[in-house]
Amino acid sequence: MAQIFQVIVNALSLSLIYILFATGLTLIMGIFDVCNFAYGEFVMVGGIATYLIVAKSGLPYIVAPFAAMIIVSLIGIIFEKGIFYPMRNRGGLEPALATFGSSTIMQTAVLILFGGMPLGVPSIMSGQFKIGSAYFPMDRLPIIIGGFLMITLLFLFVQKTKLGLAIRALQQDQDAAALQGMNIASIRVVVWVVASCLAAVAGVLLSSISYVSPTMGSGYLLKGFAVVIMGGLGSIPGALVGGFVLGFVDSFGQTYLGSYSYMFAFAFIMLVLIVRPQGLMGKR
Amino acid sequence: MKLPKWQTYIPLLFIIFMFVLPLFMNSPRYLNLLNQLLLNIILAMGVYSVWSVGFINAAQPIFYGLGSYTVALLMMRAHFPFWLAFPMAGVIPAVVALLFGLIGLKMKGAYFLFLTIALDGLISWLFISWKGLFGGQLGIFPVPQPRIQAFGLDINFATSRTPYYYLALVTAVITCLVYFKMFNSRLGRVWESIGKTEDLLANTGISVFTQKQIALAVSCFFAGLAGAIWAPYITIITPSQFGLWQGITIVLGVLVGGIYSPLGAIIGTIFMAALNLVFTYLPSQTVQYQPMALGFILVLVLLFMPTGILGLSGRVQNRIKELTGRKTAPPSINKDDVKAV
Amino acid sequence: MKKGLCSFLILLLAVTLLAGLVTGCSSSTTASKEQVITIGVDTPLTGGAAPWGLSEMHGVTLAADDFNSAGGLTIGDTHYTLKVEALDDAYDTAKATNNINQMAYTDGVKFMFTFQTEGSLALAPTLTNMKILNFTVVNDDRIIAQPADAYTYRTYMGFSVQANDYLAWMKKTYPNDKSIAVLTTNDTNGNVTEASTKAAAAAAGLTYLAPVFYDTGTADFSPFVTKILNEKPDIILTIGDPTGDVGLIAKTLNGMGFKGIHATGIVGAADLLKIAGQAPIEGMLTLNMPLIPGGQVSSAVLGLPAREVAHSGSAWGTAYCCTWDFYSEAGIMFDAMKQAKSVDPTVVKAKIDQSGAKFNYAAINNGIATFGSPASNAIFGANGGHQVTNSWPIDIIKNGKDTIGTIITPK
Repeated sequence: MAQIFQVIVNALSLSLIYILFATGLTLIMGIFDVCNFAYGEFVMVGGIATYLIVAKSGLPYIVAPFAAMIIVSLIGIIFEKGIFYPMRNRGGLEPALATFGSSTIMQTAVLILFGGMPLGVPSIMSGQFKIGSAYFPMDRLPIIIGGFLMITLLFLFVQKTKLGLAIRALQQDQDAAALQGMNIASIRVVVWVVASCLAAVAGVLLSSISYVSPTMGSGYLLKGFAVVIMGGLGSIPGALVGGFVLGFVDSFGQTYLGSYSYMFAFAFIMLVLIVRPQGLMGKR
Repeated sequence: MKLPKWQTYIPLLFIIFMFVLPLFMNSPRYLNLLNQLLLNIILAMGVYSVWSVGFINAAQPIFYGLGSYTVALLMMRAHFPFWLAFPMAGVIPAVVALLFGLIGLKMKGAYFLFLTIALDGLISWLFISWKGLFGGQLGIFPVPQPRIQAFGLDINFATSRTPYYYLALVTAVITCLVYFKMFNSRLGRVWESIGKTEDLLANTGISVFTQKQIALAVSCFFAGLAGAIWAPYITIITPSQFGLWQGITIVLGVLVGGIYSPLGAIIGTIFMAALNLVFTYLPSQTVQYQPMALGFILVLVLLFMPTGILGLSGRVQNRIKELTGRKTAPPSINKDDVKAV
Repeated sequence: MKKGLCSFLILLLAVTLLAGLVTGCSSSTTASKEQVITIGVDTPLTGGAAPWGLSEMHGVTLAADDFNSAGGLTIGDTHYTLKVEALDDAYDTAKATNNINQMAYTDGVKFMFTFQTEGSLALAPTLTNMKILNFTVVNDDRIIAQPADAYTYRTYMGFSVQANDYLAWMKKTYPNDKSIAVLTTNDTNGNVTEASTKAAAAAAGLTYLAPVFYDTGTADFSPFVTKILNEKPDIILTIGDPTGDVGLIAKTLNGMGFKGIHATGIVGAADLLKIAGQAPIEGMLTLNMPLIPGGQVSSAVLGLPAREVAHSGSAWGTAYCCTWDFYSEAGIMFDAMKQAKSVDPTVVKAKIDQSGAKFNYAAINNGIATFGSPASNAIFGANGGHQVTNSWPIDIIKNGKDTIGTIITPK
């Protein structure tokens, strides 16, 4: 019984890791209808920025997210102007492959520069507190706070601002939006900057609970795809629900089924897609 | 397109060239490279055909692996002779593909891509966890090698790489013949139009779903056959050989050659093999930069050369014709260019 | 369309001819007073396994440099020096076979180091036929189960060889700890760890609890740690796990109140400190070589990190985990050449096979390496001679630093 409580606590913190990773991904995949294989590398660059600022230069932690946001946004704009915009009328497969190529380029560059050994980043908070018989590691607290803050801000931005309205219009029909006289090119850039900032913050927070390495992003990527597909492409509440579902399935599976959990998680996603091909919260 | 007579013989000449190649290039090193090249060509044709109906099959390496495991297990556990196990190694992946297609092919591109990634995970998990049958992470070693003793011939695959080369060559030639036959038939034209105007096609009474099923199953059948050659050739098969990203080099080749034509798939695969050979002669300081170079090739080809090498030669010819003022056929731009637009 | 094919065929023909030309040119050089022996290294220099592969490339190269600067090898009137040729296989089976074939058939390499499991296993018979001496670090025990005359030797002391001594030492040093559980990856490494620990626990009289396997690429270890802590083990073993994973496991174990012993493999305290912080790693056991002056650490490996950085030209001062180990393994081969007074792989192999032959293990003062020790013969029987046993340390982490607990020397 005591164990079940611990497993639930684990599941909550695992879910938040998945949600943190998936929100930016779902934004890009929903609006551009493209699998972005390089999203993991966006997060990794956020981690590298944290390493350079906090571990190497010894600056306070609060500097890291802002620096990371600037760097990753620049990369995002390069992606939009260099790959996605020129290939906007070429279907989903070719841009997806281009992002795969870019992901290789970024991983290799980091491997050459930093050497591939895990780069340690200090935790924002350390220690743990006990809830009954279950332990909750304190370093997950920033993830919870940061994650909820990010999602709330994103939700308010998309739902309450004029720019958010434009993004939603873009998501539904790019051509119709263009006919209404909207400046599609600049709204697309805004989407990239928003998604890149989400990736950057995810990189800072995720590296604070583990470490930075060239492959840190691609490790989360499959889980991120799973959350996005399960929740429904482009749906922010979907990413939230998908993250919690996958977090709980993984936590319970890994504790009670061991290495069988892998199959369990994917079988579950297949099931979701058979019943609701548009995802849990997606619209037809 | 009417061709001058001599050009129709080029494929035949090329096949003959490949058949006599081991006579003057018999170093095991080059036979090894050529063998891998032939298997990659078989896989590349599969990538092309699934792409032509609008999908990327990320699980192709695992179907290749399924063929490898099938041939090894049938030979070792059921004591099948190689020649009986070999076709079975195509049939089983094709059946799995058909079953998977029932769910997967009803989805759109991004979902299908993800589902094939999931399928890849699922089957590799099966290879790893079902230790009694598949040998877990350690896989199967040694895989028995075939030996033909008939008509006074005694060809032992264990002592030479050459028989494998000819087996792979014959399989690759048959694969290409089957695919080219299919692409030039009504089926091929239907496939082409699936990738472009699926909704229109649905109104003509053709079952788009069945066509997609055929494309996926055929590609997995041949991928399985290629795997069936690889297993006895390499003598050790393990789940890690058939990982998700192994397939990306094949996709890269198809892209570089020209994704809008089956011939491009072959040319691109040969080009990538040649490029990798050139890479081995570069100084070792450059080694770390090679994956980066491949990444740049992938992105640049997609951006600036969407019709690949094949399309490029057509474009260059047109440009030369333009410059020399001998602009003959009305914008007889390469047919492939038109499709790219 | 067909024109494209035509010009392409011409290009192909040109490439074929060029390749033939290159093959023809690389024929053997004529005997002279100065001769260079090429040492081939096939290892992952790119991709996820690159940190280990780069470590091997640097280790072998630096060992060859030291061999040359110590005067090389003079036989009769010929002076031999070593040159290292490293090829990248990105830990891919097909690429590894290409590279080994290239080194064997085209480049005329007679001494080789390999890393990739499937490639090494598949080509071991070929290397034996061609009489090419191969030192491999493959963790798969089937590399040992080769015919007795095989030219492939494992110079990586797998956990199978160390398990008995490691667990016996724990039992002796911490008599109150009675049960052990393995937390490891769901791959070849993990399988070897699990099987070896099970056997060694029985021999040492420790209770062996159910092992927990995790998928590679796990980011949050809480579920697995919860599972293993539920069995209430005194000792948790994470041998063979990657450095980053060990660090995160240490952090999670500490977070969940684990008070027992966390024992791991070749993972440096400095790396763990950066990932987990000081408190979680205090008292951990490792098999790392602390590159700190004093004790039994040889001066030869103390300078390696700085030399490695200089060698790789890295602006960020990158030094890898176990270069000292690869350096020492290469040293075994070069010492065998010296002792055999030959650069003929058959003669060097005979020296290695010679009963009671001992070679220098460079990382430890007076460190030795032997093939076919009682420990390896007990595990691999008649093939025990293809497995190295060398001197190795057991460390205890104190104040965030490795301190040598004991050095175990093979009999």
